[in-house]
Amino acid sequence: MLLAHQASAFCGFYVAKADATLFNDRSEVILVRDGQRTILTMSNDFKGEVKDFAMVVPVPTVLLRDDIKVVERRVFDALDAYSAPRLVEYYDENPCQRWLYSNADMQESVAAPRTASAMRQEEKAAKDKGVTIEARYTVGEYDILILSAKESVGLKEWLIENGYRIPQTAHEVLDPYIKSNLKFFVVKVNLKELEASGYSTLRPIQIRYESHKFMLPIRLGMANSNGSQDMIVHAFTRTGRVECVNYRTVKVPTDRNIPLFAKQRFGPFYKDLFARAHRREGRNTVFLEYAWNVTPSFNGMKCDPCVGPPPMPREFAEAGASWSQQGAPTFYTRLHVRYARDRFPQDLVFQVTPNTEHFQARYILTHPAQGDLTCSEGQDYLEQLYYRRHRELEELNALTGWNVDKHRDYADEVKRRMSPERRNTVAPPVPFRGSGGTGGPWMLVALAAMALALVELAYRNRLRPA
Amino acid sequence: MTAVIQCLRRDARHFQILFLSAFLAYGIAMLQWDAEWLRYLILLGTCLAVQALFIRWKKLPWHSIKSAMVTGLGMSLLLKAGSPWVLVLGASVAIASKFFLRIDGKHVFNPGNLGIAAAVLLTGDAWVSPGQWGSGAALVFLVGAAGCMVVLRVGRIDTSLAFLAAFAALDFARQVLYLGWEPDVWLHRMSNGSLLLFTFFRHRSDDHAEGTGRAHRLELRYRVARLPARLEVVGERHSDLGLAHRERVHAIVRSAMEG
Repeated sequence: MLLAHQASAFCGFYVAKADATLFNDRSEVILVRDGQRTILTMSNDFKGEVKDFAMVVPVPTVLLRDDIKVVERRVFDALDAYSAPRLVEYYDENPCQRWLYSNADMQESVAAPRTASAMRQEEKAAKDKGVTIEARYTVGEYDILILSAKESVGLKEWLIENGYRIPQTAHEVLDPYIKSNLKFFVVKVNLKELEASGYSTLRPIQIRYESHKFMLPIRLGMANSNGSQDMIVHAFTRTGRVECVNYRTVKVPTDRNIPLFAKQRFGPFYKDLFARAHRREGRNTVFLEYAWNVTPSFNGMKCDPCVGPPPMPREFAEAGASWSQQGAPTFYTRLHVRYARDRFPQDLVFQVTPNTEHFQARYILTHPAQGDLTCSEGQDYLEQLYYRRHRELEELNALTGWNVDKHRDYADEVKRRMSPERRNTVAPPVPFRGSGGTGGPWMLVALAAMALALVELAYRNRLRPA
Repeated sequence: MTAVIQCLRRDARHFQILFLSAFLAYGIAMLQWDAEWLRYLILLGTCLAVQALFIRWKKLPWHSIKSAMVTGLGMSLLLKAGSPWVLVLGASVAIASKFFLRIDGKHVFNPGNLGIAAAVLLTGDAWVSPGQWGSGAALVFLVGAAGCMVVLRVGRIDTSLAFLAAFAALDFARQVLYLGWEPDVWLHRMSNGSLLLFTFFRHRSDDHAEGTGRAHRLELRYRVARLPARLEVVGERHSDLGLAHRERVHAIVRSAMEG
């Protein structure tokens, strides 16, 4: 079968993605770092009544009006769709019909307006509690205040009195922020503006500041919760990957062959894979899900395969990586962190590295060859397929913990397609423990042996220290 | 076996080689590091080759090749780069500095650290990953205990512990007493593998990098321990100066001390 569509550089199909909406209790941020400048965009996945929405974010400087923007939600959607873990499909060719090889195509896959006197009153009340309103803006559908405070209890009381929902224990966390000289960026919804804007949901807020601190304050969000939360960080730099400095940054398992039936349940598959990896790594790591050079002029592959249409430079610019529009180098890192108070006592601190190695979370389905497989190569192929399917089942089990016993027929049905003689000679599959390791334990042994041999050699030659 | 044990006891560097290799193995096997064999090979190979050249040139005893092995392994644990030439540069600078940068026959800098700094600052294509050790309790024990063994063999536990104690006390004072973070924030900072590795291995990987006398050593450790707190203050005050490479220097210092 020859298809008329243009063949692509990638020879598999993208079929599904595991996007951020899979994870409940999640937040998404875009974090752009350019020298000392940080541009942080926070997505508001707020489920309650919009009038109850309130947000407090510690920031290092008093933000100016121009430092605050409201951006469209679709920026997040485009980035998420582009960088989400992906499932790809490959097709085996029939070894008995090699001449039929064909190119595969890419499948299509709030508040009432305040009077001046009310504002003065508010400011006075704030002063009494040691809170200073450094600035006050209305941006899009949000009313924004920049606060500085002298002590945490006053700040907490002021926030509660003014309708910001702050956990009772928040002052324990606010205190270190105040002493570190951080300001507080507090946001409420301006219902009138929201109505006028015609938007039914809250749009993401983007802030910009200059600071040597490259971090994300996660502690405040944990003040009221013992459960774990998920956060997806879309990070952009000019040079290379972003990695965490005070927690381990680990790649999610990738490039694994999984059974065909996992296609229908790719969402739950990735969710369970992530949960398992999270537990295995001690519940205190940051996971790398995607890292790619997204420079507009970059000639290499843009994605392999593309889960969604690659974001355009305009979208990167909207995300805060404005240099991307001029064609300057842009590197995209997607991190996924599941944090809870007990394992994440510190805020996340990041660094920009010159590491431009590409990475993606990718899982592979391989369809068996179709047609007559009675030739000797075809029988060899079936034997290989039988073993491969066993490995796929065990891989699935190793990645997600799913019980695969009920799927044994997935491998056994291949056996039934073999000729009776071949079926009788097939050896039972060797247990396979998944390709989870680095594949290099022998290299480690070799390295240790090399070190010992060197020491031994030095000893034998009486090469003693001075 | 006895021969091997005897051999290990003969020279502290043998212990170092063994433990640094063990850390590398631990990182790759347990902490999911990328097993970049080529990187390890280039760093080790360059260190050994450059050392061999100097040995031939200066007609030195061949046992000094072991120091190069220690430096190479230490750098393998820390230095990462985008191109092999950056690794070659870092490793060459590290070993060459042992022969060129001497005052009264003593090294001015720790060779490995200097090599890393050179690679990061001169090329911009190298980096260190302070977070790579995580804060696993097992690792803390391993690094600490292994470090003690090395140090005990040469009777220098005092300096390492003094450094650690000074650093821990100062950090406790800043994080818990002053800023008001809960003690587990401080504990998380202290249980960082990079800090412990630095305490017990990095800075003592070269005996000649310091002056003589216990008092001098203690003072040096104390000064080093104060560095992160100081840098933090300096960084806050001059955050808008845009000092060239400061972020990268920060990264190196963090790699060694804070994580």
